[in-house]
Amino acid sequence: MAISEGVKAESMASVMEGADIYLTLDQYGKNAPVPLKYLPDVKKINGVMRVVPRVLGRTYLGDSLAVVVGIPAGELPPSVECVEGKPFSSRGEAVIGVGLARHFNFSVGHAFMLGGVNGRMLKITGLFKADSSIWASDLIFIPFEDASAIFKTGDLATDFLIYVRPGYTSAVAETLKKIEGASFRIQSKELVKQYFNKGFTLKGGIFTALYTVAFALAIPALLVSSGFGLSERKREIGIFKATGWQTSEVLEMVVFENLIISLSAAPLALLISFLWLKGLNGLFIAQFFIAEIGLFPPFNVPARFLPIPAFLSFFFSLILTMVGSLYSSWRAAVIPPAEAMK
Amino acid sequence: METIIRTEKLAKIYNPDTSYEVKALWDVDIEIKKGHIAILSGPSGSGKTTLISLLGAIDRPTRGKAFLMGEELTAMSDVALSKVRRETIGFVFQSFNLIPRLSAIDNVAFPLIPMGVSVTERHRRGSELLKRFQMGERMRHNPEELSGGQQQRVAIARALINNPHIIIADEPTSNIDAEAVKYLIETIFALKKEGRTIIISTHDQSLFNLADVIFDVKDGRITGMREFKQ
Ligand SMILES: Nc1ncnc2c1ncn2[C@@H]1O[C@H](COP(=O)(O)OP(=O)(O)O)[C@@H](O)[C@H]1O
Ligand SMILES: [Mg+2]
Repeated sequence: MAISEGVKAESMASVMEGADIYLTLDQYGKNAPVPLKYLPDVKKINGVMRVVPRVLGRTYLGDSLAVVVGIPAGELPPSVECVEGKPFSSRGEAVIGVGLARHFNFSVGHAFMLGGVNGRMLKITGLFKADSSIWASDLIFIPFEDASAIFKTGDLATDFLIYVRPGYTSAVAETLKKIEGASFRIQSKELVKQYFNKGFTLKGGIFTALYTVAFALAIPALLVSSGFGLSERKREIGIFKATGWQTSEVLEMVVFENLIISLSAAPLALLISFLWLKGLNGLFIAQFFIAEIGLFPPFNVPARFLPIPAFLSFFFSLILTMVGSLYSSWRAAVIPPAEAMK
Repeated sequence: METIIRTEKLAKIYNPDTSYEVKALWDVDIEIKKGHIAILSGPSGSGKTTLISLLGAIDRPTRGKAFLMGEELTAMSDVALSKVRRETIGFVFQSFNLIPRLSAIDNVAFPLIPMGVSVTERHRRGSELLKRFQMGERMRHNPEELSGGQQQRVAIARALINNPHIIIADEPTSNIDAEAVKYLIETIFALKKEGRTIIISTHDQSLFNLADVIFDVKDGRITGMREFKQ
């Protein structure tokens, strides 16, 4: 929950900064590259301010898989801000994330080979900080033409980012649909936003489940460490009954104890989650929420706790353990004490 | 003299109708008089613990009846049996059955918790009993820090916390040393003098001359009864 809320917040931020329309071709319902020949037509549409064709691809840089964004010079997205050097201005240059730069010990002025046998020598003109969006950590921005050459995309772009004047989004989308000979997939900011929300709700659910598991683990862990094995427990209940306790009084005590233990487990579970996220940087868990980042997240996992899901998962696990221990206690309490004490 | 406990063809079969079936007790008819010390005597495995558990209302028989002060224990509900255990019976178990995580005083006083007795009052009554058995110095100790004899004194104090009329002790000499046996004999004698009925299971002859009556138990049956004029 903490992780997925954090990622969601950041993704939303980058969506907000992004283009108004993402344009690709529609091929059997999937995204397909757009021929560059449509560029002039799209630019001509009333209300369009700017069209940026991109080539996206992944390739090895040394031992790690880097995401490469080919984009015309001068069109770097506003969220990519160079902390060192400056954006590239001509072919053979690149801007890379500080995460990658640190990994390879690169700095401004360094040249590196990208893309294996068909690769290109690229000179680093700038480094940008990855804080604003998490996937930027492994990103490399290079000129459009270099990316076309590396990925052999010819006269195709992965997508067009279209920036429109305020209020023109639906009019532009309508006009795009009418362009002859092409069937476009038109994704607006709104759609992308919805997509993110849907994706993250699912992931949020998974994390809430894990968080609940953490509770469900923390409570029995406390139970066990405070000396309540199951047979030990049964024996104790036998002793209580043998000295005159009623079954209902035993159950009352169990409820009371569960409340006390759960209340002490709550800070423990929060502490575990907190240490895990901040100390271990979400090791193992982060990969479930952020696709393709691998076992060790190379960046700070953005985490944010929400009180309501935390409370709900606490409540849920409390009910679970309460029902479980009430049932087993009731079983031990209704048999003759001599039997329970064995 | 008034009869306090009586049984009619009392029987206990463990794991009935399986290959592990054990007829631990069979057709037991005994009578114990109020204010007497009754001893169940017999070798290990003869059924003493089984019988004394039925008399102490902490187990249910497979067949037969047991009466306590004229009331049929074997017909009582779980709630009524708990009430009998709380008000009438104090049980001293063979291995004491103290709760390991509780101090001596808490072990003595916890039966009072559901009766709504305040902590201060519980501790007052608990420490009074522990002092009576020379355990005043050990009130804050956990059971594992106490010797067998000391644990037994805590167990006896717990059995007395509700001031029950009947005290039941299963093999009370088996887990304590010779010095503690002497102390135990004095204690049993003192409890009898207070007018209580005491039922003891044992195969230790050193307790025999305390008895008003001895029942010989063998293979789950009563094979003899000896009464003594004190
Ligand atoms: N819970 C049990 N399940 C099966 N057999 C039992 C159980 N408790 C006692 N027994 C058997 O019943 C018989 C009488 O046991 P017990 O009453 O403990 O004898 P004593 O106390 O005289 O040593 C023994 O054969 C014993 O093995
Ligand atoms: Mg026995």
